[in-house]
Amino acid sequence: MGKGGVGKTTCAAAIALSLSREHRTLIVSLDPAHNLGDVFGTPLSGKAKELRTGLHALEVDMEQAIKDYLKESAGKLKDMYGYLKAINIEGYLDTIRLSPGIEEYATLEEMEKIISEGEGRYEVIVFDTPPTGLTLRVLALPEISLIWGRRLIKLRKEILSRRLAIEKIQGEKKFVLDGKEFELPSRAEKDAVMQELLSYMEEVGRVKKLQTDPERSVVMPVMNPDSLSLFETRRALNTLKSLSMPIGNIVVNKFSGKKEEVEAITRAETELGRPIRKVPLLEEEPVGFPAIESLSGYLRAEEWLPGKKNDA
Amino acid sequence: MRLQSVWDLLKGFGSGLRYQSTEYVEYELREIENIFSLLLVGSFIGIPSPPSNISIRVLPYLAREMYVMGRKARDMDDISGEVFGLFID
Repeated sequence: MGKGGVGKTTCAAAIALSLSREHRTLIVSLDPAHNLGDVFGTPLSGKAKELRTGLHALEVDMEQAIKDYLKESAGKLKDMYGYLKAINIEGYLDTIRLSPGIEEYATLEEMEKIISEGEGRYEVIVFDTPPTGLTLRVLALPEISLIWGRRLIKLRKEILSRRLAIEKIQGEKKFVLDGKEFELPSRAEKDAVMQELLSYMEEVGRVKKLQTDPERSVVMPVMNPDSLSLFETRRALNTLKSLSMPIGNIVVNKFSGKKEEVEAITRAETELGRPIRKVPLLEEEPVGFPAIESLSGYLRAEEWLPGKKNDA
Repeated sequence: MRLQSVWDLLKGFGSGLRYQSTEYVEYELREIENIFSLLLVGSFIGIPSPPSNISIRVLPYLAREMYVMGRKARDMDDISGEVFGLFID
């Protein structure tokens, strides 16, 4: 994770390549502006492609991911509201596609899908993330969702308890709208809204648990040896700590040994409180397997595995 | 025939009492249903709301709540009428 242009994709590719020698590894690009295929010198798609023995790669098609996510909801909405001919459901869903948060949620959903499909097939999954802003919003989504979920469940219980009180006096009621009859459930187990909220909380809870388990997840910050990069990394780490996410060592990429860079790194070591791994500024662009292999020599890949003690 | 009329009268009376006894709870229920749907769909019109994905998941089951919200919006200029209506026979 890091600012745009610091070398996240290159470092992720180097780590994945190095780990793939001993672990079945999948590297996934979540960045809407994909570069992973360019780094490996081979075109990639939404389907995992074997690059070498033990190494697979894919680039998530975010537009398709959003369409797939909304398609399921569209089906359910049509079932329930299809009789309301005046409402153009498809048109409404086209607008929802542009709502704030949809891209973040689709990204998170893709990550969940990849992790669950990868169980048993891959030992390590490396996610090449979008720049810091979007990544932090995606990573914060489970926590925010859990907070809202709890509030909505509480409110829903208030609704159900009042319906039950009325039902005990007036008997079971139905709600009729435009000739269509709807049940008005008064108990949680019969209320589709409550069941959906509870199911959602369970799913999000699993994601949150995975995110915060130091034995299973780690975030690798990548920065350049300059103060702007340091400031952003510091803010990002503070956010990650507030989300209880495990943080690995910090990669300082494109280090050329200049005095101001050495000062920036010294400040980073002091202020960020994590060991630093320096990757030099290479003479040639690290594109293609030989260059990535050479880069991976600077990153001790094994120490990035979750659960490993990361020392300086 | 007379007994039937008396019985119908008593039934109507009982029904009226039942509705009257739950009228305030029904008012509260409509208010909470309105708040619930506002919270869920408010993000589409700029009200701070939960992540859109929660709203989209429960939207297929919110026919009643959306109806209440729509009716509330329509009767918004006569809130006092709705409240006073609770206390008038």
